[in-house]
Amino acid sequence: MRNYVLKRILLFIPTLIIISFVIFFIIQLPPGDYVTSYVAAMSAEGEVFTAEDIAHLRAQFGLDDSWVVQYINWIKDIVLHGDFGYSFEYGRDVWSVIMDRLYLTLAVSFIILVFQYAVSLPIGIYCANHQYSAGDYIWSFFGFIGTATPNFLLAIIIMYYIYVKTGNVYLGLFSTEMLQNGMRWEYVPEFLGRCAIPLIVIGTSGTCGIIRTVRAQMLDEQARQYTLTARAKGCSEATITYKYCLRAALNPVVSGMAGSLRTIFSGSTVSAIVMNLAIQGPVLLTALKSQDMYLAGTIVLIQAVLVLVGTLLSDIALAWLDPRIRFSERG
Amino acid sequence: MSNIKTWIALVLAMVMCLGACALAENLPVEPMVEDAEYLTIGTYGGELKRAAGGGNWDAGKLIEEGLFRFTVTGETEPNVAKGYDVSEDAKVYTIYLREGMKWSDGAPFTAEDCVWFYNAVCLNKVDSKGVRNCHKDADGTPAVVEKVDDYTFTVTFGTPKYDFIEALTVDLKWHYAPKHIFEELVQNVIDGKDAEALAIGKEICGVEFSDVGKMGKEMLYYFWNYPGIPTLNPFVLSTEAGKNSIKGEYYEYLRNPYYWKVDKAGNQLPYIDKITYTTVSNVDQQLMLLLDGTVDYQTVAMESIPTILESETEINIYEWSGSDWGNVPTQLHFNLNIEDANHKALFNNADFRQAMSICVNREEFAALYSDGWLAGGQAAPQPGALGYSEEWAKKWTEYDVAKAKTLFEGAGLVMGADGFYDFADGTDFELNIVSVADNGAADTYKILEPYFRAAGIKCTFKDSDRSNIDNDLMANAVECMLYPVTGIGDISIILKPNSMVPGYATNVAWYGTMDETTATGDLAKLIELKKKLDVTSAAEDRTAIALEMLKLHEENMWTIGYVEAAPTYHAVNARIKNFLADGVWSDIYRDMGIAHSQCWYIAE
Repeated sequence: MRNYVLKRILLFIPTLIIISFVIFFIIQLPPGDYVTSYVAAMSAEGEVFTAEDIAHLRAQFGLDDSWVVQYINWIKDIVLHGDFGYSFEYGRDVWSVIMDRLYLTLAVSFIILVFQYAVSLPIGIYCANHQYSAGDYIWSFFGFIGTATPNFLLAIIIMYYIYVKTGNVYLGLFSTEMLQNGMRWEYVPEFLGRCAIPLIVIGTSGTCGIIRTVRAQMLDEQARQYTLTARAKGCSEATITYKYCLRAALNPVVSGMAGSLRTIFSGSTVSAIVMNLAIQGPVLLTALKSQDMYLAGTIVLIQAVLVLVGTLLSDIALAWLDPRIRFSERG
Repeated sequence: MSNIKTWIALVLAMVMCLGACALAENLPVEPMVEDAEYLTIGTYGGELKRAAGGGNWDAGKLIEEGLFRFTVTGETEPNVAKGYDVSEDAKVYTIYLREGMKWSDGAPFTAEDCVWFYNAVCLNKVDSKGVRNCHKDADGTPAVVEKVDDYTFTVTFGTPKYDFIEALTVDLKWHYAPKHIFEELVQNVIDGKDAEALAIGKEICGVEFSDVGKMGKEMLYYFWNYPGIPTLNPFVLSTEAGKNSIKGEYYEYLRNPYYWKVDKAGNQLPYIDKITYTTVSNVDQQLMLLLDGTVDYQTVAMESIPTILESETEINIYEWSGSDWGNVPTQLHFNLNIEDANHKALFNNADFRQAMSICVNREEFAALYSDGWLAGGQAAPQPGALGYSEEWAKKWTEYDVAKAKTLFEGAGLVMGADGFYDFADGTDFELNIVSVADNGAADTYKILEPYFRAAGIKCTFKDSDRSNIDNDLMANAVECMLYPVTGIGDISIILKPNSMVPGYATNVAWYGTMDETTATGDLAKLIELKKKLDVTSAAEDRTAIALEMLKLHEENMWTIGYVEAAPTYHAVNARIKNFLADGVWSDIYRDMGIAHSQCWYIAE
């Protein structure tokens, strides 16, 4: 197992080099660069730029080199100095921009992830144990809502409903008063109310997949002979469900968690913009739009690392959950 | 008991006296009096709540203070400066400052701050902008700026400079920087000691810049966006963590205790304690916050007004006239500098442009487009603006499809078998129109397209993200644009020719990347006239040249407008008082800045 993990980690290096190269290539692909976006935005605000100004800006941002040279310099700084580059848009180093929103992003995304599994697993198990019952249909219906409705639309509907009912617009996790005065006990109810919107909107988007997977897997496992044997030997239904069937049914759920680390890091982008959440997703979108390539590149690169790490972790978890995977690895 | 009362009264009187003395100390000897007729005496306190997408000019123009400023009728008047004299030959301007005036940190503001800014910052291009046109004489030689005494300095030109004050108010505006804060930093930049300069910059505003070029521009040009930099503005960015970054979720500008203006009763301005900004992602969110009373002031789109008026929050709508040539969102810009020879020849043919103009039923289009709010119109200066003529405003506005078809054929197009015009060489002609996504252009196009189709013009439409459009504009890859990124027109072609003369801006669709090297015919003549304007000092001669330039526009109609200009609508929470009801929205007038936020107050 140790050798397997080491081998996988070593494979990260060439994979990441290829990914980073592709990322950088794609980000610089649209015509123009950050200076063109910047000049255009400033011109629209009434500023005048001469060709000399533009050339000066390009030299100032190091954009007059070819993109390959820029890529090599970027990677060199990351490897040698841990420097991910400079964000043109924010006017400071990329890492500090990412760190600004990291904790809130992690907190929001982790809570959403926990919500998704906490809601989906029991529903999936219930639906499997009560196949084709009224409860199965009702819970499945609720599980489907999040997937069937685009997140941003659900966000707008919920925000509209709250506005009509309360006369207040719940944009973002923090009200202006909270941002002005810091968190106080009196703000907690409103804060929880504000948290509930992204929790429902983003959380329910992933519940359906998990519910259907667990339900299908559980039904599959319940039809297997070992379940019949266990039942014949007088095992309780709870033991059959939770000790045997669920453990086997969790395989695809666990492997599906590989992408969760990436999601936790960046959060949902479109929904975050609609709900004005100060998490990483909108930063990535802004960076891509303005061709702030080091910032966009770093965020996507970190996402790629997290996908690789997530895949490794889910493989390890699968091996722990399912002895057959370990044995086949040995073989 | 009565003794106690007397003592309390005495103490209170002393406190009030001390307060009055402190206030007097904060003000210059001759503070500027905001005495416009519409202003009432306000009360102190409260906050103006706003929502924004990240500082810069939206926050800056609202609080900007130049040496001089424009009035709503287009004249300049002293502002930071107390006044000025000009020599008979218009070569020497003597500018007087207000004695006892202070920066927002309490340090004295003197002529040294103005003279040093020009000599150290502008001449050495530390703010990345360098010497502005307003400071150059007819030969392009920079003026000499010298201190006379603490409250007087002179600006001397080699040749007469009749329009210096107007040009200064447009080009440079402030002409000062706090020398006591920046002297060492700027000297290090000049001496090439970048590391030292960057360290000082970080010490001042807490931001670590990548290089001195970026730092100079941000700290000396966009100074209101950074904490720790004293200003003369009525409100100054907070230095408190969590409230001091325009890239953060929330930031606030606090009342400048040394602000140098008073109301008609002599009360120091501003009345409001602070302007707060909550960062949002888009204008829809701004509107939502306006409706629930979380935001006090916002410019809004015409179509949002019914929603605003229905809201439970009491919001006043103020209508300001604009400076655009007709309604910008419906302007159609043909890239006269497009690379493809067929398209270039066609777009440069006036008959084609006329046909594209008259093939649209303007009244019907305007009614559908604006839901009856606006009438049809043309891209022409607005009544009262330099160059306005009724003839121009109505030029090519008749609806005549038959004539349009004749003109298309006169311009070299040939009707194809599919019922659409082709180029004379048999190649398909398609008018590929682009626009910025999410601005309503797609809907506008849906109304326009049937007119074009009926006249035999096959069109395509694509909207994409603003940055993509900007990049395409810079790469000269835009063929035709509806709802241009930069519309044509401004309050004055003399003061700001950017959108009207090729080569003066970087994202104007009708001339694209054209400049004096690529312009031909009347376009080249237009650029020549602009150059002549630059070296002409006498006001009447400048006006004559400007009219000549505008005449070229009128004759050629390089861009087509279909609807009359829409006013700018300001939605202001009813608790905000002293808002300017009849303003003019123009960058030259600093947009909403002409409403003078320092005079606003809150009536709870």
